[in-house]
Amino acid sequence: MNSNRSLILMLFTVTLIAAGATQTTPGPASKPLSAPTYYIAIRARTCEPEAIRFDGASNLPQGAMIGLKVSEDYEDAWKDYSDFVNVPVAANGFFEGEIPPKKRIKFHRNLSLIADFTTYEPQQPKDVLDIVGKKGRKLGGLENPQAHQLSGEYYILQTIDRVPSCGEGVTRPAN
Amino acid sequence: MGLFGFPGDPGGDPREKFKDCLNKYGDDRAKKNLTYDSFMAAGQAAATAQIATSELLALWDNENSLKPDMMIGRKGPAGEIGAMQITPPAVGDLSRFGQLPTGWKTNLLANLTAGALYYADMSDKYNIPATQAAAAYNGSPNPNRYTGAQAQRYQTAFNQRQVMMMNLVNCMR
Repeated sequence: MNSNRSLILMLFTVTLIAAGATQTTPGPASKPLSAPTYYIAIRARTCEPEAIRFDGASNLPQGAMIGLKVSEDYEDAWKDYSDFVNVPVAANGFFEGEIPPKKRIKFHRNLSLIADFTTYEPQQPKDVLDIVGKKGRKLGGLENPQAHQLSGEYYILQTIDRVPSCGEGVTRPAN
Repeated sequence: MGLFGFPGDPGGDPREKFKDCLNKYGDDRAKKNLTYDSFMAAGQAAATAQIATSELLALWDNENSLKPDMMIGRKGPAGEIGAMQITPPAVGDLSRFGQLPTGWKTNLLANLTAGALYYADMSDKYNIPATQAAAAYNGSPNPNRYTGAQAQRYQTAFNQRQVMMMNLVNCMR
């Protein structure tokens, strides 16, 4: 009787642990996910006065070049703290990189990391242009919340993330 | 008369009236992107350049679908900047004529004004017929450019959008 009770208790415990592991372990999606249109998602991971590191994901074709820069809002536009850095979308849909500031400028908190995809700058691989169109006409049009129309006939994608603390106020502990 | 040529209507809320007019006359793009404040800014810029508000709104619609967030920090393929996609040659012309508004790169109203002034210059400075002024805005005042297929598509789209914008502006009077 006792051994039966122990066996039941052990099976119950194993089941609970397995269920917990299933629910809490993050990992890649078990099946391909779909999106209604093309997108770029970005995250400013870390900020230091001399560099901002970022990563992101996109369902743009492999090899599509994403342009990223750091700016601060100014009137209705932006004041740039960096030049564009261009990184390719990898086969798994992810990308990452690091952006240095312009000369004689240091990054600070609450700047904006801006990422965009255009068909004209930087030059995109031919197979990417075949998929999205030379002027970006297959990027989903204005139904795509990340799409902007430029110069009448061109479409680009753009998204923005907020840069975290760059260590402001942190002091070295006294030894 | 109210601001920028729109008659005042002291008895009603102009924003509510704008919503009604937009619902009645706007297409999907205008309903999605055009705000009352953008509409008023276009009216102010058009008045400065002495062109019709409907012309400026049709140009803006052609350039980037009337999006008020268009000072997006990415230049167009030929170096165009802002809501009115001001090109480097247009900047040169506006500077030469002493017309380039301060803050045209960063301020929406100034960018709209720069576009309105450049459009007016097509007729005033280059003697281009009004029926081709939008094509010239897009293609340049050079006849070899503004008579091309792309510029003419631009003019056709402008003509269609201007009709809608005239209805909208008249509704707001």
